Parts: sequence; C-alpha cells; structure tokens
Amino acid sequence: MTSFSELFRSMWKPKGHIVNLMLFFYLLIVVISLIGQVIHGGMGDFSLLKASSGDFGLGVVTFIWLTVQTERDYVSDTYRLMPASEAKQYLAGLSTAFVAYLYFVAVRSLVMGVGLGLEWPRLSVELDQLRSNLTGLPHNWQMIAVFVALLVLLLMINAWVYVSLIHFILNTVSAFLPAGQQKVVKVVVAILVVAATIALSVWLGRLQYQLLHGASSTVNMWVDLVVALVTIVVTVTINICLMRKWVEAKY
Amino acid sequence: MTNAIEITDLSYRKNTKTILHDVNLQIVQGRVVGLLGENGAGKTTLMRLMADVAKGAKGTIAINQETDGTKRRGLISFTESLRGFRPGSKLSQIRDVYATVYPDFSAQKYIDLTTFLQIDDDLELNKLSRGTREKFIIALTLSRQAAVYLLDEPFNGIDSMSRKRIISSIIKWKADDATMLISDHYVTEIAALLDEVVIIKDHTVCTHKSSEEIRSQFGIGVEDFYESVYGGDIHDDEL
Repeated sequence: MTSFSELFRSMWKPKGHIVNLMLFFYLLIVVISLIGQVIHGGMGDFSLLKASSGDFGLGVVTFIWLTVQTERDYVSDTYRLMPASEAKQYLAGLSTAFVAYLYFVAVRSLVMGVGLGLEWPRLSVELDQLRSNLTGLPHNWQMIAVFVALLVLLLMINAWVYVSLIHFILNTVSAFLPAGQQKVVKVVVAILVVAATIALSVWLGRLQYQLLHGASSTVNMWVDLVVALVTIVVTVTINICLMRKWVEAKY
Repeated sequence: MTNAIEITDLSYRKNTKTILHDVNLQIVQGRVVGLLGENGAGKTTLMRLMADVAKGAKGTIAINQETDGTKRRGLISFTESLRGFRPGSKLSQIRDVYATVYPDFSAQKYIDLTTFLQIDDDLELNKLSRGTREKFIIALTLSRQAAVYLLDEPFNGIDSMSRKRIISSIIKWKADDATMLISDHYVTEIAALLDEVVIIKDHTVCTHKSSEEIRSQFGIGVEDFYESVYGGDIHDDEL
C-alpha cells in the first residue's frame, strides 16, 4: 500500500510547480516595481518593502489555482488508482494544498522581511510614534493577533473542504441521478452555498466588531476556533465518505 | 486453481441508465483474457469498477479474494491516460511517481520495456505523438509486477508494425501467475494471445469461453466467433 508520505510527495509536485510559477510572477512584479521607483524618483525612492508588500491579487489567484488542482486530483485516475485509502488520498490532497499555500506566503513574507530589515532604522522611529499615539488598542491585542492568525488558517482550510464538499455532491448527483432530479439538487446546493456565504459574512462582521471594541473574551475566541475546527472535521469526514462510496474518477 | 478475478451479481447504473446488469465472471490466475464488445457495451466500465475508480455498483468484485477497494487497487495495474500529470512533465518524472507510489513497480522492467518500445524518457508528455504516449502507458502498466493487468484498448494510435511487435511479446512482460484482461478492437491481432474470451453484450457477460473451446465447439477463430455472437449467427442457447 502507498503511505501518506509517498502520496504527499506525488501530489505535491503539480502544486509546487503552481506556487513556483506564482512566486516567479511575484518576484517579476517586485523587480518591475523597483525599476519603476528608480526611473520615477531616483535611488532615493528605492523601497523593497513598498515594492514587495503589494498584494497584486496573486494570493487569490494562487489560492484558486491550488483549489482547482486539488479538486482535479481528487477525480483523476492517476491519483485515485494509487493503492491508498480514500481518507489518505483526501488528506494528502488537502495538506499539499495547505503546505503549498504556506510556502507561497512564507517566500513572500521573506522578501517583505528583507525589505523591512533594510528600512528598519526609519520604520522603528515611525512605529514608536504610532505606538505612543495609539491609546484605544485592546489590552489583549497579542492574544487577538494570534486568534486572528489561527482563524485565517482555519477559514482557509474550511474554504477548501467546502469546495470539495460541493464538488463531490455535484459529481455524485451528475453520475447517479436523472436529469430532472439533478436540477433540483443543484438548485438546493446553490441556495445552501448562498445561505452559508451570507451566514459566514454576518459572523465575520460580528467577530470584527467584537475584536475591535474589545468585546470578545478569551473564552469566546477559543469557542470560535473550536467551532471552525469541528466544522472542518465534520466536512472532511463527509467528503471522505462521499469519495469512498460515490465520487468517481473522471479521467 | 485460484480465481484471480471473481465478480458476483454486479450491476451498475448511471443516470438511471443500466450499464451493466447481473454480471457474473470468474477468471483463473495466469490467463490472458480478451474482453470483447461493441462500443458502449460496458467493457471500460467493468474494468473501472474492478480498479475501484468507478463507484456505486451493486454486487461484489474480488481480486485474488480481496474485495476491499484499496487492496484491489494494489493488486491491479490499469492503463490510465496520465491526465493527472502536468502536460510538461518529463516521462522520467512520471516514472519516479510510479516508483514512489506503487511498491510493485520494477525499475528493471521499466528500463527493459522502454528500451524495447524505443521510448526516450527525457521527453515531455505533451511532446509525444499519440502512439508513443500509448506505448509509454503500456510500459508503465507492465512495469508493475501486479496480480492482474487491465489493458483498456492499449494499442489505439500505435502503428501496425509496433502493435504487432508489442502483441507478440506481451506475454513475456507478465509473471506466469499474473492475469491479463485486454479490451481491444484489433481482435484478429490479439486473438493468438488469448487463452479465453469474454463477450459483453446487452449489459452483461454474454459468454465466457476458452479459445480452444471456441475452435473445437464452433470450428472458427476468436474474431469470427465474436462477430457471430454479435451478428446473431450464434444464438444465446448455443453458447
């Protein structure tokens, strides 16, 4: 049987390629930005931090591309024929997407870190001034920062597992239900997706308000994280069951 | 003799359309079997169900007595289209993935096969002609020391000279106790290879006979037998 690490290595390759390509574009944009700075303002305006900290939409594109690749892998003969359980296959797909995205963020952070290091003498003065001007910062702001970072990671994984859930339901419905019933199920899925998106937006809005106004206790934050984690576990379990029983490889 | 493939009461429907119905089939270890049937008869579906990449069927499929899907996949080497790989992947990279994930992959067999089939594995997948791609798929599939080989139309796109060379040598690439199920439209060319023939018609196994039985019972070759079954010259009660 194929082990998890062997599956991970084989599923990593196309995703590593995607991230390397996106990082190439990122570095290209940074270099072009630096050249633009020098042309317009001379060497005095040279700022690696400014050139590297723009988002350029690359984060979103990388996320979507990794999602598409992961979903393709789940229904590809190449991976589904491998002698590993559906649970291992699913988790290898999910974890390679996660690690690939972290790799993308880490390289970007490294470039920004270098930019930050180069401009630290000036920035440290500005930060000191900013800190003395900020009086309304919640007392537990470090805890909130950790909470937000963890929540972003969990929401990212949640997004992937929800995309898989919808993909697997539609794959199953398309394969086994007659045309009329397919339409009904697809409409129901569309309504549920819209409802889930609205519910998530409302929840995030409420959370943002509570965090900014210091109205969220440590207990509440942990509860939110646990809810996000439990949601992932439940959805992953459903996805693995669907994959084992109904989701067919397509090509 | 142990059965390599044992299928019991297998039925499979897709979008309420019956693809396979009440399929029962036993194939003994070590045989080379032709799986014949017209387009859309369900040959590929049957292979995909055996390899556990098609789902939702009723009935049981056992490969070397294993009914669990994951274990079956470990015993079966199936010709796949390689569409899960990046088009720009080098063939050597694909070989490395196979060597990593299939414990029964033999590097020596791969070298022998690629040499025999004249494949340069420094090439990229998207640079291959259709025939070379098919040859590479055959090389990968046979490089595994599997219990059961499922070759689904493996010679499509391969020029007739290479096809004949591959067919005449295919037996030497499998172990004596390994079973090979070949679905192909070049019935005349593969006929000499086949120990047995399984014909799929009307969503089920219409007949399963040894090549010898066909010759002695009907006095015709495999291709004529296949055409007679489909053409109605041989009736169901004669099978």
